Amino acid sequence: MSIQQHPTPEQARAALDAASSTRVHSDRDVRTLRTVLVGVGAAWALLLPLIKTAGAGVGLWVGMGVFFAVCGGLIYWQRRSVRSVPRGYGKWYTGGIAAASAAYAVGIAVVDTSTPWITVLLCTALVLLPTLFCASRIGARR
Amino acid sequence: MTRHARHRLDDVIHAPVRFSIVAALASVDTAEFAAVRDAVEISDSVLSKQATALEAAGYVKIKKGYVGKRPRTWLSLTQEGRAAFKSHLAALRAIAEGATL
Repeated sequence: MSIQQHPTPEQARAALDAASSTRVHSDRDVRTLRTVLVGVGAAWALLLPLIKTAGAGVGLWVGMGVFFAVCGGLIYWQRRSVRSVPRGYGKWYTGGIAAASAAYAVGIAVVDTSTPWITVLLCTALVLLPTLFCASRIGARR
Repeated sequence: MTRHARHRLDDVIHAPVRFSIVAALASVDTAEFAAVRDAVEISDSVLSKQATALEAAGYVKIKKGYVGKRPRTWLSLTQEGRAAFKSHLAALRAIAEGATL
């Protein structure tokens, strides 16, 4: 294809076809982004029942250690394996993480050992839902 | 007098390899150097040279970093680059339709 000077209509059409068929991202990239997002959300969410059952004791610190190991591992895996972020998906990914983090901050202000289980479960769902929603948007066909 | 659409083609983007690179980057927020190289089917050195030219034009952002101990380079289109590509495609469509704009 040569469009250096005066492209003919055929050359212009060929260039347009080439532009529309070029694809950098793979389905694997999309799957990895979704998995990491839901995984981090689940890790945040599971800390709330842990606070309810373990209080502020050793169990909580062990749980926090596991949480950071899981999140760190997921994010490292994502950075290693995702070769591209499809257009618009970065906002959903970051938004999901930010919303889950904000919901978790509310959750730890509400949940302690005396909090009723129904409240704990509601807070857990509130932390998990943003990541599930954002992951579904990442998976949506564009 | 109406100017022919070819006058609206972007001088930086219309080179075939750079056009392919920008087209590849238009579908992503960001992409790893190797992913773009494989998609466009060019060598590391060609991509490096053309990406640098696109960066100098303000169309591409090049970000270098590490994942563990491995160096990684990420490419993305700037807003200016997206606008230029959009305008370039519009000019190509006009030419393909045989119109003058």
